Amino acid sequence: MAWSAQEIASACAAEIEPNDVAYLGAGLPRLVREHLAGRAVIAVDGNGLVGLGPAPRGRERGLPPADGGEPVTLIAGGAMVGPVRAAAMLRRGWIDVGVVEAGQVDAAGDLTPSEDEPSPGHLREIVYGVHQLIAFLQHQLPDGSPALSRKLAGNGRTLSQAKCALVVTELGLFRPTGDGFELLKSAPSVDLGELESRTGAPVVDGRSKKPGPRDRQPPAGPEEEDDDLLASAAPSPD
Amino acid sequence: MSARTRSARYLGPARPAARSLPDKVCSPSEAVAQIQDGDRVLIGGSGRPSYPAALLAALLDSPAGDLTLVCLDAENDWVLRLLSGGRCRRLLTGAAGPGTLAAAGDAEIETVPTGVLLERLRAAGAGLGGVLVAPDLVGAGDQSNVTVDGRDFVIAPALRGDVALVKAWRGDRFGNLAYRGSSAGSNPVMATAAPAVLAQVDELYQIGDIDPAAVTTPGVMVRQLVRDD
Repeated sequence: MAWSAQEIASACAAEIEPNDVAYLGAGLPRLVREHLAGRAVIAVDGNGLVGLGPAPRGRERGLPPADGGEPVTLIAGGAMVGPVRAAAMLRRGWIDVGVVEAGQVDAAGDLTPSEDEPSPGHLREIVYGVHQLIAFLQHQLPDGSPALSRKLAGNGRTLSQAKCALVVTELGLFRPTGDGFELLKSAPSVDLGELESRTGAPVVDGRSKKPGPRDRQPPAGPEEEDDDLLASAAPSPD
Repeated sequence: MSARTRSARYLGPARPAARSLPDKVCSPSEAVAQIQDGDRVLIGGSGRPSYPAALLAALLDSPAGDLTLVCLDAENDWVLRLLSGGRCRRLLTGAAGPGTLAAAGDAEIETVPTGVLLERLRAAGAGLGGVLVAPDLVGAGDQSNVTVDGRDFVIAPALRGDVALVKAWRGDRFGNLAYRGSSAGSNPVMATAAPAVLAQVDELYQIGDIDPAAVTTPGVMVRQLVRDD
């Protein structure tokens, strides 16, 4: 059974490390903010909201709707710095991980914008600025061909900075390995044979392996957390 | 307190992240211990109340030397003492008066128009390579190398620091900063242009007690924070 959009967002949120600054792109990636409670992840969006919280519930009042979407909240310690500063933070290297909607990805970690992406230009800026990407996409294109392939054609739409560290579809969570994809988590009752037939590159089963770098448990002590944040908040010097 | 009541309605009911965001408050001497020999140090402020005085005093007491200092106005006690103490290799400033030149010793002094200096810092903070300015602004004569809409420009390269010392009006323990009055001048720009931002605040708040709309420098960009005592 395939994952719902919220389950995809939840699987993605679980991969964002504590103290990371995460940029949530337009569309489905915005759902990730619903799944970050207590994770000390600073979620940033293109409107310059730093510290996005979940959508307001009940009688709680949120911020005015952002980019035509639904109202949002901020976590305590959040800030509203506006789109100019948000883009500056991206380009300047303050964002550890970007979560974006993609059309296709390949085993090298390259991607193309989804067909209905309203602003592929902004996606280009996100891909340029972040250190790593988590891509959301449908496992198959509308015509039924695989959206995960071995190598994307280097046409003008392909963003080939090889930054996708993880790929999440309705069928599972994958890590591009260079010549294929490693399955890290799968939706209920999805088997490897089915996945292989629906994926345009080899799929290896990594579900039983020990946790990888993005599966680390949160550090134990507050001091260690602090150090982690300091390290991740500092873009590498020139 | 008005900051609290204005921000409270934006917050989710559980406010889960507040507990886990780190507290970055430390002493001035702990903060400036980040500064190493040879660093390029951006100093925010212009006019006495807008300087991060406690951080600058701690920098004077620290061993760091061979520094490159960037500040709008070099005519202040701290910069002059860093110069006369031989701690500074190079100074980029918008205003170097007679006191600066007298204190300079072997240090190289470069004056840049204040606005150009700020734009170069802003470009660095925005992840850009520089800004285009008229050749006359930087004394480049007719050496223009870029033409836009028929006008000639030269590239003023982005100016990036290793550490920025800034002064803000309000800050929370996570490092969100709000500015007011003269501290709103060069400080917010300096706070974007270095990976290690050390901030001094007049008023220190708990995380979540500053109106998010009043924040200019988000806490993720601030490494450490000291209170003005």
